[in-house]
Amino acid sequence: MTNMQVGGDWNTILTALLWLVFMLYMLSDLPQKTQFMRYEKGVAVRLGVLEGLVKESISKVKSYLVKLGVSSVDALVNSTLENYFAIEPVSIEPTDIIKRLDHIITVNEDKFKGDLRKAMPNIGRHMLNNIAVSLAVTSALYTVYKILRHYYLLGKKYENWILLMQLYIALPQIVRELLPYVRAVETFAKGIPIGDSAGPMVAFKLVGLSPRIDIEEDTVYSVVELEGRKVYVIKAKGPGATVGKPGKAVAKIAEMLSYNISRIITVDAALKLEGEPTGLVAEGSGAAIGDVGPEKIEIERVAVRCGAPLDAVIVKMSNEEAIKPMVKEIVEGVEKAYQMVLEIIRNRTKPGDNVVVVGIGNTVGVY
Amino acid sequence: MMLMQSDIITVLLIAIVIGLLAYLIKSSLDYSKERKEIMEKESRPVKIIAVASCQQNDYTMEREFREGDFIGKIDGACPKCGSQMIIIKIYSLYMETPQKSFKLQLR
Ligand SMILES: [Zn+2]
Repeated sequence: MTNMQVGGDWNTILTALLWLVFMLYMLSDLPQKTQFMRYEKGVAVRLGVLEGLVKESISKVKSYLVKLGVSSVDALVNSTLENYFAIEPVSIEPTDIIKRLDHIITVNEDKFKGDLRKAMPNIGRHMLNNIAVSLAVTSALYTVYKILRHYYLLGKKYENWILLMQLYIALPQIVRELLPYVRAVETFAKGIPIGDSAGPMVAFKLVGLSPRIDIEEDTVYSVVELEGRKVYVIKAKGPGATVGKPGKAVAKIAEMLSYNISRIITVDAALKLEGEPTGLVAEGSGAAIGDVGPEKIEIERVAVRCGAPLDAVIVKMSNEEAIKPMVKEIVEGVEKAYQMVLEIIRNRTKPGDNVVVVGIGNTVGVY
Repeated sequence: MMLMQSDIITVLLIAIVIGLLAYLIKSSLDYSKERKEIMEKESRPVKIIAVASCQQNDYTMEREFREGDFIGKIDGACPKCGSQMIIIKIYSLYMETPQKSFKLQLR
């Protein structure tokens, strides 16, 4: 055998092989099949990550409940994960839709908290609120996981590779966005203030430790004198994790003052745009509150009825920062927002006026 | 001359095939790595600080957050004047890599 012959043999085999690969690639649907397999595998791996996260948050909630001495933890958590959905009211007939929506939300919440109280009768209100929010976060995570799994299994069942491709592309972002919620379960259970507590924290800075007067479920107000103005500061009742019912509280205060209010200021955390710095404070008009509607509309209606300007002071942060333990930039933003509220009261109201300030947001870890 | 040329092509083809095989193995390993990567990105060390201040504003104290702390909690007495210490801030420290692009800010 000569070198020439060996080289030639290898050459022929390799060339034939490359031709074969080329033909398979160009003339068969093998590339599509492999791509489908790749999407399927990628989605499966990421769903696995998500499953691990959901399991992690479920076991965290369970371990907290066990630590609190709750009996039949498994049954309680499992029933919370599946139940308490709310059905949107009919919207093609808009008459009193807000009332109906509010009714459904309130009834669902009462049912949830009532069941929790029954399961753990010896636990204080604040701890109960912390547990309720932790359970709600876990339930939301579980729901997202169930929906994604549904589409994955559908895509696999019907070999719908467009469905799997969409999941494959969207899942990395979804997983990254859900991660802070997994951490939030622990944060809420421990009662650490989060970014969304910016509004209640501004309210705290205004009133300090002055007495909190109950006005609505989980909602309190305090009255402070500020250079001759009477300032009614409304916030959720801390330090448990709750957002309270600030809209209804504003309505009640307005009724109490027979609609003699000269300014309403709402302070809330707001979503920043990607690239904007965290803790940036901005001022605008309107009710700064991110509920589905019932609370916001109450504030707007009161403002219109009193003829009072409605100021919005916002502290900007990302979605993730809103549910993570509060970072230093937001604490600095809270200070700035507090100064801005003081300035608004000093410059745009007169001594003797009644001013309402509402600290919107979850008051976890803030008295 | 003929012999040299065919040898070069052979070596080249073998190199391409080996390269493709290596890429195949690498891309299938990427999936198992991903899970670890996602978890690593999140588990940055976090430290939560509670700042307490005296009501007379003459003394502030920083310490690590303990379960049960909240903003507005009375936290002992001031070592200087003896009035109440109140927790006024609770914040967390993250180990984060700052991003250096598009830094135009108005404030
Ligand atoms: Zn002191």
